[in-house]
Amino acid sequence: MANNPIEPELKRYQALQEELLSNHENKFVIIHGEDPYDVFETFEDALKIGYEKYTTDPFLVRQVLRIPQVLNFTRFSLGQCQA
Amino acid sequence: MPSINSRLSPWGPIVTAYIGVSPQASAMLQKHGLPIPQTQSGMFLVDTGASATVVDPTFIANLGLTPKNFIEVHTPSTNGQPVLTPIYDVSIMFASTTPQSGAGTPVQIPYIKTVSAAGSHLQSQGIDGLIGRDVLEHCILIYNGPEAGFTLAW
Repeated sequence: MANNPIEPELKRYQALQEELLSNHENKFVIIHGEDPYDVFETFEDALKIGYEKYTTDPFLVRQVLRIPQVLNFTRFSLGQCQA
Repeated sequence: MPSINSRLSPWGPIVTAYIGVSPQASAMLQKHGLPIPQTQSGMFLVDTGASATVVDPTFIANLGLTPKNFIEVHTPSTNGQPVLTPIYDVSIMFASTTPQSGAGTPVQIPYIKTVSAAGSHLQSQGIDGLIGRDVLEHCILIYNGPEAGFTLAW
C-alpha cells in the first residue's frame, strides 16, 4: 500500500470499528482525516456527500460490516496496483 | 433491450467498455468549474469468475482517481492470503453492437450509475479490465460456444 492516500482514514476506521459496528452496522461511513465521520444508508449517498464536503481531497467510503467484504477472482492472477 | 452481439475472442467474451468518473465526482468537478476527465474506452473481459469489476491502473491515472476504499482480494495466485486492493468509484457504459452494424452510442446500464471497481494490472494479459458479477447481475449473458459467439444484454 505504498503512497496510499487514504491510509490515515483506514487506520482511523480500524480505531472506530467497534463504535461503528455498535451503532451503524451495515451503513456506509465516510471518513476524512480527523473530521467527525458521517453515516449514510447507501454508497451513492455517502459518495455524493463526500465529494460535496471534501471535493478532490481523498476520503474513505466503507460499509460498516462485522465480516469484512472480500472480493474473489477465479482468474489466476491479478497484478498488484499501487494507489 | 440494448445488447452486444459479438464473436468470442481468444481471450473469451470481450466487450468495449467506456470508463468515466462517477456521477458524484462529475457533479463535484462541474460545480467547481474543474475539467471532467474524458471517458476512456478499452477491451474488457466478461468474467463470471470475478465478483467485482476490475480496471487497469492506466485508466485510473487518466481519470485522475483516488481510491475510496481498500478491500481484501483472493485469487488462485494469492495462495489463500488475501491482498489489499484499491477500490475506485467509476461510471461504466457499453455501446450496443452487432457483428453487422458495428458499435452504437455508449449508454449506461439502467440501475448502475456508480461502480466500485478494483484497480489491478491487466494490460500485460491483453485486456484493460474485467466486467464482474457486480455489473453482470443487471445483465443477461448468453455464451454460445458452438457458434463461437456471445450476447450481453441489459
